[in-house]
Amino acid sequence: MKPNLFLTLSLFFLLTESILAQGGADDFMRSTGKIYSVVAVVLILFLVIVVFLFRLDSKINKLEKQIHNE
Amino acid sequence: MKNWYKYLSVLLMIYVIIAGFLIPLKPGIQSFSPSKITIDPDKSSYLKIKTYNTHFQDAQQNKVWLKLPNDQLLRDEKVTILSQNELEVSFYIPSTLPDFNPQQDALTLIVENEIDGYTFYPDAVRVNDVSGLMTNRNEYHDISKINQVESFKFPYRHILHETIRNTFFHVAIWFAMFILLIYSCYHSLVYLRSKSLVSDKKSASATTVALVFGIAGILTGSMWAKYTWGTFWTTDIKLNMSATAMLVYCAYWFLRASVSDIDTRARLSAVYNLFSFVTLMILVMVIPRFTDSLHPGNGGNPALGGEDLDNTLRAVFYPAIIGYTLIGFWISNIYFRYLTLKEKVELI
Amino acid sequence: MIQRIFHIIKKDLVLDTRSRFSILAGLLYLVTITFVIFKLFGDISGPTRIGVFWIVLLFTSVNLVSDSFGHAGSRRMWNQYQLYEATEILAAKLLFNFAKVFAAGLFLLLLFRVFSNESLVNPPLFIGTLALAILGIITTMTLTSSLTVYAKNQSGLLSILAIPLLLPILLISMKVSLVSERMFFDTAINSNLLMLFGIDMILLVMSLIFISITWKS
Repeated sequence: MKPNLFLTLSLFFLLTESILAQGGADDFMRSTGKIYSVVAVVLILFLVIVVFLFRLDSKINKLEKQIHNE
Repeated sequence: MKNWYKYLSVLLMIYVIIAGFLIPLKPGIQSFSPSKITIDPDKSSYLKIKTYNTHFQDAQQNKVWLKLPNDQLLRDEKVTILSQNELEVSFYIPSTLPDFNPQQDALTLIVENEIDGYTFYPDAVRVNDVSGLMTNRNEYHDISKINQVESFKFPYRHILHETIRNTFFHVAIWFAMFILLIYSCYHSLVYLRSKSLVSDKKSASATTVALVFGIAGILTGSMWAKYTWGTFWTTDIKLNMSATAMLVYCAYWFLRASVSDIDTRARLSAVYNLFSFVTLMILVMVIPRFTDSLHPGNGGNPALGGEDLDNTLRAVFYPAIIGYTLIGFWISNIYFRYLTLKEKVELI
Repeated sequence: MIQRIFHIIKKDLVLDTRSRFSILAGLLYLVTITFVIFKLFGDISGPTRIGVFWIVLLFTSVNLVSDSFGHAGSRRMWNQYQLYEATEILAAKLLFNFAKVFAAGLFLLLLFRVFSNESLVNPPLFIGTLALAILGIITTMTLTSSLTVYAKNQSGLLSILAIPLLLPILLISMKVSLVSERMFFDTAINSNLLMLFGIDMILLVMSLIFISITWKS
């Protein structure tokens, strides 16, 4: 699962970087009173919790397999 | 009902997301030009004002005022509406204003109509005094003339704009993290008294979820910072304090990982948890008092200032804290069950 | 009780002096690191010099304190545990480590004086801050090193466990030392020193409470 975590993190940074690369004072994220930055914040929050839950899920799966084998 | 807190957390989060996104912002003044008026006793001065969330075209009585430091008001001569959020206004400003020092004071700009109520930009317009001519063409109005419209809307803050809604997502998750950490410390104490491994696992799982919330808090915080202050990472003390907390709890996990004996691990991590929590409390209490912070309502007081959190924000902010905390307990409960399962497998 | 504490210190001292190499090595470490720093920077002045001083002191104290409880299962530790109370051992270790790190700090100050050719503006204030900061640093580190006794990678774990906790002490002492060097002006210097002292006291009380829990086998 570790490569997956790195993948998610690097994807996140790539995404933010590509959005930011457009720059300027009137870019997408700053339009309509910066509401999209709030959307981004909610998305990040959701993604962090979901990634954690996925990792926990896979850990429990491993344990279940172990119990099943014994 | 056994799972009441799960349903409650879901309901609260639905409320927070819906209310947090749908309640509109109060109108506000975005920008105006020029910021400095040179008074000409024969002519009127013009100001172009750009606002946010106003309804100039729908409203019948658009008024613009300039407030003097002694709370007297100067009314506009003529208001020209360009669009819902733009207007041009002309003033006649007398060359000698009562109780006004052009070097120090500035006039507060107030825009008002019957739909939006009033909105103001404090100390906006500076005045260049040119001549000492006295004119009596001017009337001063009392501050009670301003039209107040009661509405349930979030306050408009300069620079922050709509991102004030992040209070419910970014700030609330920090509070939830702290509540989870306190819960974890409580279980560490219980462990040290009773030596039951159940409390150790409860404490460890609460710390894990707090760490996840903390990481989310740092990422969302840097996102917010990017669109208000322009950088991902600032030298702001609150940010660095939370980064320190993250370092400490990562170290807590390394400590747990590097001790193999279960009882020793539980004992040592409980001690480290309590010790580091007290040290972090020192950091939180002590440091902001002698450094200024970028965070709204700071510099001197680590808590949220009453001025910055008005009642409309509170109506969503407090439910958000409770919602996140309950979700945190829910996840930590799942993690606790995972740890229990793991222990059983290891014992086999 | 005080006699017993001094007894432990004496034992530690004997152990340290018996291998005279370790003291000389410590001194050489400080000389080398200072020399390298001044070569790399060329000429450090102002706040950077003070900051570098605190960082070097921090890592020196990690080195000096990390093995203060020895390794788990080593015979010496077990013997000590049999003979003395946990709080007595902690008090002895604190005094001993304080003396060691304070001596290292003074030596480091001397080295910085020699290399940078700048003398201290207000020596009593600077050295007082140094003493208070070192007290806090070694209290935190001694307690955390008692936690790492059972772990595999001791000194590495000690630095990640202890250094984040030292941030408040380092921030305050950095500020006070800048003021004492007249690089920064602040009238609330006494309250800062008092705060540092208060933090030291809280840390001391906490480590006296916790040591009897961690020091069990």
